[in-house]
Amino acid sequence: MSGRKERPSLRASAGGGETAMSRRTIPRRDFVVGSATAPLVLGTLGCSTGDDTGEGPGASPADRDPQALDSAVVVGPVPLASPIRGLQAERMRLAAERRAGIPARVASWGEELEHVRSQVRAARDAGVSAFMVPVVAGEHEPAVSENLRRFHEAVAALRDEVVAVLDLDGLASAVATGRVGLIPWFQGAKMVEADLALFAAYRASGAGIMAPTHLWKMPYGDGAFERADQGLTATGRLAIGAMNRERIVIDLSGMGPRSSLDAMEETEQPVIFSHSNARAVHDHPMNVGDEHLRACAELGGVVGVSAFPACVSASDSPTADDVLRHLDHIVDVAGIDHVALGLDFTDLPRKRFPSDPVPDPPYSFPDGFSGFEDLPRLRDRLAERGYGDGDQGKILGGNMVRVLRRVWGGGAE
Amino acid sequence: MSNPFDPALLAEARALQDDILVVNGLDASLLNEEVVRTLKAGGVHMNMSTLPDLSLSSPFHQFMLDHADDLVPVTTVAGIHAARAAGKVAVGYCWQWVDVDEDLSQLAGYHRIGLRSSGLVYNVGNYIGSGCVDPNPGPLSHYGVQVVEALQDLRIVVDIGGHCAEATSYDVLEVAEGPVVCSHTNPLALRDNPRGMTDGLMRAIADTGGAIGIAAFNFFVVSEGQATLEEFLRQLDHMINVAGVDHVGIGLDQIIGRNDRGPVNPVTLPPEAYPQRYEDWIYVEGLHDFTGVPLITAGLLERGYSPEDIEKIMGANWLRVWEEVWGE
Repeated sequence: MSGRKERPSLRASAGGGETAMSRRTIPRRDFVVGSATAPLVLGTLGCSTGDDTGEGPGASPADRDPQALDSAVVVGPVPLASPIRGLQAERMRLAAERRAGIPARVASWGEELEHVRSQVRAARDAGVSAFMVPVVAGEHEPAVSENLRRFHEAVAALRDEVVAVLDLDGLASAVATGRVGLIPWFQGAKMVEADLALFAAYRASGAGIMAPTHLWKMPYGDGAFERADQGLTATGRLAIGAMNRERIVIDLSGMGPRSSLDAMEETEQPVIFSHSNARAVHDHPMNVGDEHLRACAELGGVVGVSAFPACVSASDSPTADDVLRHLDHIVDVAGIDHVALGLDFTDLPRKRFPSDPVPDPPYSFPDGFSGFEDLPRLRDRLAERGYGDGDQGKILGGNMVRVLRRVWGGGAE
Repeated sequence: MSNPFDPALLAEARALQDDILVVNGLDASLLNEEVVRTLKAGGVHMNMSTLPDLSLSSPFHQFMLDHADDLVPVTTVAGIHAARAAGKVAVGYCWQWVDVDEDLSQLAGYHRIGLRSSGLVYNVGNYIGSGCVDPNPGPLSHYGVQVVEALQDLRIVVDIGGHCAEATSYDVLEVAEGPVVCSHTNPLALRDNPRGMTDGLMRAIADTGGAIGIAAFNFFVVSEGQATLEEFLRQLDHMINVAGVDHVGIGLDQIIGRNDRGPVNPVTLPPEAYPQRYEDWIYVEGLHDFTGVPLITAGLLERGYSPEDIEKIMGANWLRVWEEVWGE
C-alpha cells in the first residue's frame, strides 16, 4: 500500500488540504452481524440500527443530518470479487476462461477479501460515498443466500472501511463515518418468481435495489439479449406492484425495451436504469431509447451512464468523450435531474449464449473511465462541458440519493 | 345403445382393458395409497406420474419400495410390458416444467433417477418460454432452445403440456426433432379456456408423430357446473377427428388423494383458467380417480370405436411415441 499517490477527491467539500475522507474511529455498534449460519433470507444482517451515537432509537443518522446526504457521491454497479458478485458470475467467468483456454483457478476467500479491500479503498480515495455491488447476478436459491452470506461476511470482515447500505440510515452512516457504503444489488428475482410474498423477506436481508429480469427471459419479462421481447408478463405486473409495496428500487437495466416500458407503466415509484446508455448515441441492446429516457424522467427516476465498452460505441476502444456524449444526450432528453453514473466497471463475462452481443473479457474501458481512480478528474471534464457545481452534484450522486429517498423512505425528505 | 354407466357395457369395457395395455399419459396425483388402489381397480397398467420434486431425497423412492408388490418404476416400454406380465402397475416419472434452475447439467442426474418426459412452461412465462395465460406470448428463449435440445439429447419426451402458450408450443415444434407430445389438454373449439388447444396445434403435433392426451379436469370441459361424461367424450371424439386415431390418448391430470391443500397460488393458477379452489377442484362426472377409466373405454365402445382403435387411444399411442423417443 506504500507509495499510493494522493489523489484529489470527487467530493466538492474536499477543501483545506483535508479531504472529506479523513476517517474517524468509531465504536463498532452501528451494525449488527448475526451468525453466519442464520437463514439469511429471514435475517436482518448488516442492518444499521440507527442508534450508533447513543442518541436513542428515534434519531437515525438520516434524520439527524438530512443535508449530509445531498453531497454524497453514489454511483452505479461495480462488481467486486466473486464472493460478492455471485456464484453464477463465477461459473460464467470459469466458462469464459475455458473458452479462452486459460486455466481456471478460483481465488481463496482471503484473496477475494483483499480484492474487495483494494476496490473499496480506491472508491474511498476517489471520494465515493457508496456504490452498488452485485450480490445476485442471475442466481437461483440456494446460491442467492450463499452470496448474501458472503456479502455480509465481507462487510463484517472489512467493517472499519465499509458499511452495508440497506436503507437510508446505512447511507447516512457511510457519509457520516467516511466508510464506503456497499449497496447490495440484485439482478433478477429468480428466488422469488411467483412467490411474491418473498420480496419482503429478501428486502429485509438486503435487496434494496432489484432488477426484475437479467439480460434473458425470466418469469416477469424478457431480457435485452432475448430472441423476442413480449413485454411484462402477468406475473411481472404483480411483481412490480409487490416491489413498490416493499420499497425496493426497481432497476430496469438489462430488460428488453418493451418489457421495461411496460414496467414503467406499471410502477408507481421512480425506477432506475442503473447502467444504460442512449441508443440514439450507440444502438446496443443494453442501451435505452429516448422514449425510455423520457418515461424514466417522468417517473422521477435516473439513468446511470455506463462505461462498459460495448455500450459506449462501436469502437473496440471508446474514449471518455464517447461516454460523456451519452451523458449529454441523456441530459438533453431526460433532463439534468435524471442522470447518474452507472460506470459498470466490470471484468466479468456477460456472454451466456453465442448470439449475445458482447465480447468476452478483458474489456477495454475508456481512458478516464477505467476505474474508481479515474473519477476525481471527472469534475473537470464535466465542468469543461458546461456542468456547474450544482449539476455535477446531481450527476455524481444527488439524483440517485433522491430516488433512494423517495423509494426507500425514512430519513428526511 | 346403452350408456357408459350400463353395468353390462362397463363389464365389457373392463374385459377389453384386460386384453390391451391401458396407459394414463399424465397424472398429477403424486404417489399415494389412493392412487395405487384406484389404478388397480380401474384396470390401468401404466401411469405417467408427475413428480415435481424428483430427486435422490424424494420420498417417492421409498414409496415405490414399500409398494413393490403393486408398482414398478419404468424407464422403457419393454419395462412396461414386463410389469404388465408380472401383474403390476408400471409407473413412469415426469415433470410439467424443467426445474433445474437453468443448470442443464442437472438433467443427466434426473434422467438417471428416471425422468422420461417433461413439460416446459407451467401456465405463466418462465426462463424457457411463455405460458398459456401470458398476455403477449412469444417463442422459446435462448435457454428454452437449449432445454429442448438437452431433453432430446437425453431422449426425454418433450411435452408441451397444454400449459405452454401456443406461440411457444409452435416454436418447440420448430426446434424439436421427431415426436412431441401434449400430455394433457382439451380442445379449445369446444371449451374456450386458456389451457385448451387449437385444432391447428393438435394437427401439428400429430404431424410430428406425437400424441395428445385428454385431461378430465372439470373446467377444461365446461365453464360452470359439473361436466358430464358425455361432454368429455364429445371432446375426445373431436380430438380424434382432428388429430387422427393414432395421435390421441388419455392424460387425465387428476390430483387423487390430495385435493385438500388450501388456496392455490392465483399467480400460477389464475382464475381465468382455473375457476376454483383446491377444496372444490373437481373432475368430469365419474373421473375423479382411476376407477372411472372403464367409463371412458365403455364410452368409446358405445360410440362404435373398434377394439383396435380403443387399444390405440387407451394406451398404444403413448407406447408407440415413448418407444420411438426412449429407443427401448
